[in-house]
Amino acid sequence: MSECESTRREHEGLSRRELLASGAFLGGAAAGMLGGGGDLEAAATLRESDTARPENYIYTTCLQCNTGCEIKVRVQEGVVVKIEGNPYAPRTMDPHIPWTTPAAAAAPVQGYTCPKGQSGLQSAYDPYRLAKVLKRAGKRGEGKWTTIPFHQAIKEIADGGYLFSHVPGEENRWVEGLKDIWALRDPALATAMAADVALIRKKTMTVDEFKTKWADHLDVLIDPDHPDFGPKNNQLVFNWGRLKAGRSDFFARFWRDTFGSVNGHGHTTVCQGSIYFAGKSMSDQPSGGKWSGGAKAYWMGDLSHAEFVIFWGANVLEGNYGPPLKVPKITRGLTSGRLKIAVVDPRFNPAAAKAWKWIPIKPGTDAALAMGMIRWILENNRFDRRYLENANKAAAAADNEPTWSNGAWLVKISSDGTPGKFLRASEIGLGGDADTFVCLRNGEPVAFKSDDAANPAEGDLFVDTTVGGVRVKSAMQLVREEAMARSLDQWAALAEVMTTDVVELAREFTSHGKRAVAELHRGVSQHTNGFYSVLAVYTLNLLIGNLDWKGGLVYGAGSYGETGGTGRPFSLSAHPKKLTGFGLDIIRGGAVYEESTIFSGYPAKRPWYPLASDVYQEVIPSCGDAYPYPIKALILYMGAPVYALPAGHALIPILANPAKIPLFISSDIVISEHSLYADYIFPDLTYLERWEFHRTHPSIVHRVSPVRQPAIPPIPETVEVFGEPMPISMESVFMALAEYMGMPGWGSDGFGPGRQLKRPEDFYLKMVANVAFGDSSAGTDVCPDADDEELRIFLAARRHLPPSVFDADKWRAAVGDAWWRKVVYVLNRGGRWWSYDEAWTSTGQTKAKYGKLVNLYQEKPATLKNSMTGKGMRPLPGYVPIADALGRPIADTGFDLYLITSRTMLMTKSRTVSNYWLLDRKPFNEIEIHPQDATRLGLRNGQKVKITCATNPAGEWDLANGTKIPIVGALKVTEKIRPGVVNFVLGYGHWAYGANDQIVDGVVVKGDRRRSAGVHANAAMRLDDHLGNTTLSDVIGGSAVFYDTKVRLVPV
Amino acid sequence: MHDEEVMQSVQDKPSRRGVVGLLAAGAASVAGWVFGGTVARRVPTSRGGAAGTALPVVPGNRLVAMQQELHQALAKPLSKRRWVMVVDTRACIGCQACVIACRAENVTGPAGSYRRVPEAPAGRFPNLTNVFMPTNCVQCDDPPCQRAVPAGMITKRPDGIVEFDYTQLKGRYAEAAAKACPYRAVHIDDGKFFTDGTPAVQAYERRSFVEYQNVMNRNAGGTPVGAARKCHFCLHRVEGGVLPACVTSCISNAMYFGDLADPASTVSELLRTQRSIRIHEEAGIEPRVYYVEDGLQGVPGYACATCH
Repeated sequence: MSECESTRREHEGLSRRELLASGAFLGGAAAGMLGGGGDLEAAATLRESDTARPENYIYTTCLQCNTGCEIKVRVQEGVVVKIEGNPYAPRTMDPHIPWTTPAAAAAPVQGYTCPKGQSGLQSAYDPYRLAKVLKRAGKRGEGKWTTIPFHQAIKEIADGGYLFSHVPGEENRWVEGLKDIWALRDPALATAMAADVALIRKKTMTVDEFKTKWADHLDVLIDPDHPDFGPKNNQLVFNWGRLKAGRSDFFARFWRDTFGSVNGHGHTTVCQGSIYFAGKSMSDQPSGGKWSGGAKAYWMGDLSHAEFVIFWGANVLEGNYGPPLKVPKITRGLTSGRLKIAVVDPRFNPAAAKAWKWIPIKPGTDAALAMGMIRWILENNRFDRRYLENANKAAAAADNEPTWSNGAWLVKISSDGTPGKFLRASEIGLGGDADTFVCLRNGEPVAFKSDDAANPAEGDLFVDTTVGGVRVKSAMQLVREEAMARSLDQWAALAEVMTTDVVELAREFTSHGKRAVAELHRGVSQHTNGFYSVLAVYTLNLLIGNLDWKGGLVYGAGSYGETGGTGRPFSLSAHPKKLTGFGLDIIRGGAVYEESTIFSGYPAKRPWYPLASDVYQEVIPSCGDAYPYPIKALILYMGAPVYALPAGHALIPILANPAKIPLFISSDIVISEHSLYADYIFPDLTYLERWEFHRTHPSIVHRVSPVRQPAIPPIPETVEVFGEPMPISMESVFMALAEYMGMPGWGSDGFGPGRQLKRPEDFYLKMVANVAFGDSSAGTDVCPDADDEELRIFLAARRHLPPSVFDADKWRAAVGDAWWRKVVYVLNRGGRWWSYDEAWTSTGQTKAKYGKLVNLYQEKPATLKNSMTGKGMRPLPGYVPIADALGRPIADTGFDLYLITSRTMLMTKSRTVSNYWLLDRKPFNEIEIHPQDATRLGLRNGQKVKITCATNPAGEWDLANGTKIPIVGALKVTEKIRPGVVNFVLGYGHWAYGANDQIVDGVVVKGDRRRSAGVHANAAMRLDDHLGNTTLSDVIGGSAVFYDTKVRLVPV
Repeated sequence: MHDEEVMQSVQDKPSRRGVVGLLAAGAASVAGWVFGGTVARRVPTSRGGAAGTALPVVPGNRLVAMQQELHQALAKPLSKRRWVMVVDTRACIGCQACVIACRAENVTGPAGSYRRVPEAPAGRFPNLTNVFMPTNCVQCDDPPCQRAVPAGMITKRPDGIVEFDYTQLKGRYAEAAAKACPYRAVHIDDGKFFTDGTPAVQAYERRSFVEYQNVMNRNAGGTPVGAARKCHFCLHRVEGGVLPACVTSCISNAMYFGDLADPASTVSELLRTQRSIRIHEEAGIEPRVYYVEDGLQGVPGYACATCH
């Protein structure tokens, strides 16, 4: 259909270029849909009440940033013209309206959303949107493309071949297709081999034994001498940027469950990895003598009720999770007198303007400030002793405390004084099992289990003694020793803050009972010491025992389970022939170096991350180093590693090299900075054209399930897969690959015999039905049926959607008649949420609770070695100096200024530069510098300077295509930054994403220079000296480092 | 292609859509014809369009409360309504959400916006302050812009909204009106689009919209092109029972709108209980936008001169 259509259009005189760029394409389409001024008939339908008509709205979910605010988009003649907040939802209306409000009554009510959210239609209607598949016509990065039919691209990728023989230098390069990389296809074989690889890791089977046993199947392995690399399937890497539930489940069904790769990696560490993985460690629970079950999650403040909040490295009014959710709670608290805030940030961020105290800390020393506060709090006895003495569940329950810590638990101390594992009761003859621990009460050891709800155990907090011949200290004692290791003045001096500020901050923090919070974000975590700095700030919260309390630290109430579960109508994981992959992944996430067959002493070639996963900055460099093994194909989805990662320029030579990445497929909405190097670019749908389930964040105390659903006709062309029309998207790419390669789990019998998965809605609408089912496995929480009026509104609101994305009969069939009207009910509201009052209990706590042990002391790290130094990992919060992967301090003599970054409310890193309304507010960014530094360096406001650092002395982006872009920006001399630090906001200074010229089918598509205005200085962030091709990292918590580089400014 | 499918899926006006559909595929010249300028059409006044709808009851929700008050005010005759706007500068964080919402709602181009949010930073490191001062047409009771142009071009409506007649307020009159405004709240629409110079001007910029009860667009020859334009408190929304876009879009709860003639309204209560100022009050022009401020800077009205 699409090819016929394009041929017809060419006959009508349209060039291929016009077909490529949605601009021309969309312009035409929109002319038909939007009456415009000449269209009196359409105009006559416009009236004041348009903003209040339910059939003019589709309720969906924003993705301009990861806050994922619920929105309602106003559609006029088929085009989204305005985006508003969804009044049903706590992110965009506070308090939100009841979920049971009829759609017609909700229509005139508008919630709020941020400027990026308001501008989101410009992401969808970006004139540089791709509509067709592009195949590289020149060398990687050369910017020359050919549009090719969708199914031709699918065939080429699946079959492989001399795909780029038209490119000089690649005439004889055979590209292996996915059908050959999909080597292991037998689930039973995979499971059996995986079991033996586990034995190899435990050293109970040798590699030779394995090779003998599996001699007939060694051809499926990457390397028979290293069975722990797993099967060749792992040589397909799927790497994503922003990916949420629903779409992540759909995609994992392909790369994981059907293809059998272990290499699906997210981008967590470029955001705030060390918070997530510190949170995971803090929430691990003892089980069988080990620690497991911790969630990749963390805590934030209940800003609706807090009386005092320290926003620590958290630009809470501009970024974070996220402005519409958090800002009104803060501003209302401030204007009513309920709330006082303090801000710890080298930059005078907008929250600092509202703060009682601004602490312009030296970058990288957050833990020093925290440890100073901890010292003062302990010395002045201003901690919640009652809370901290509770050693188990029963003791906590007796105090009406939902959580407890291991502060009173006894830790074994080695002969050199190093703290190790917790003492087990059995070690001193008190019986119990591997999870029976010991605390000391009135000098007597008490054995207990953490989750024992019947026998309370309380322990003394500060213990330093010998029990049963074992040298022990309590965890709190160890924390105190850390805090007492330096004087208050020394801690303050390390952080370069005033001692009086440390004291005042600590006093205020301990003056509000449980209604105070130290809330942290990226400013704490994106340092080489991120993991331990996060632990230090969270320790402050533990000292006042504010977890799960109204106005304290909250865990978030989660979402309704979309993928299935007890009682829910649909199981989305149903798959007739699911492959369970095995083997090391390319980033060595969750893997222990010493257990591998490539252990060869210290340092390892690259870091291993036993406590982390989704280590974004490791994906492409590890492919580049072929460590632990080479890969064959990379699919990149909605990530922007070149633009968004610190030192992202180091990825370019890897992406540009077909020997390192033989097949590079990008799913993108435009030709962005990384897609420049792709072999194939598949156009994707924007958030306004597609499905997803954005779920929640740690600070949302209501249970929330916002749904992202198609609101406008798709921009990419329509293709046919499994006999169904659908727009090109990441979904249709996977479905078409599955169809072409004959993979199980897709098509007519995708979920099992007679249960089809032929359209994306076959998947996503079932998830909506699961949300409609609710939380009660007994079915007492099932949502109402939409009545006839709501059904009418539902259909009328979708009158502009083509059958490729909306076909009422097919939608109904996807869930069946029993669930159809319930699905309509949910979709008419854009999701499902708790009512406002449901979030808190009458006893002053949050209804949704973390409700278990929170680790003050981390036993698991104490049992692991740092793969780079060979030393044991630190189990305690504390200050660790900034260092490279080998633990060597970074000097960078001659570079005099810290380079930091920040968010502006008007940009989301890599993907909002197309939003001209936002650019209109701030057309370019600057390099912000304090007047003292400007004067010292003889620089003036507005002057252009180049940023250089020790590992990028030239101060440039080398695009590996002959183009070099100097890292040059204009100075903004401002009091709003700490002397010695320079800052730039992220989002500007693009060289792709519509900013540059591209040649498509021989025609030049001119770039828009507005998109290259300003400076993008990530390439001035330092490389790790040992790794060479990767940013500095927190080798424990995984964070990519944004704030530890020192730079020099060179006038140009 | 999908546009073709849209044509088929929409059943209400098949014949005309078929025609436009063919044109739609065409080049810029064709699009220009389709989007060509038009005479403004008066739309029927649907006073209180949403006012007939029962709003949800949400205790503690000031937006819904103000909307309810709005519906009550719409039940009164035009001359009995006294619309005012209140900005709580203690809450405003300068996020610009209102500016973007205003752009989308009122379809303004790159030449200007009905609304700005300038900031007024002050102090020396580390003792700094920063105040944001959202600004738009304040609907003066004695508008300087009205005095600057011939009678009839700018009128003061009974409900207080200052109405511009786009068909007359062009050229030197537009310039005179813009120049006369002490708030710099008036701009002249040059008819340019944000997506000019890209592969295609986008439909959302060319859409029809309603101002002062007229349907219009910004295409070549469109009513507002060349005219002086400014905020009208989102009159089309207000008359339809919906609060102004800058009010509903405000994430910091800094924006208030309502009927000052109603002593029980949120705005009346706010102005009774909080200290507020009006910018250029001294000029005697009776602006209808109030700023709640907390005197943080020691001097009331401290930040005004920076922005106005």
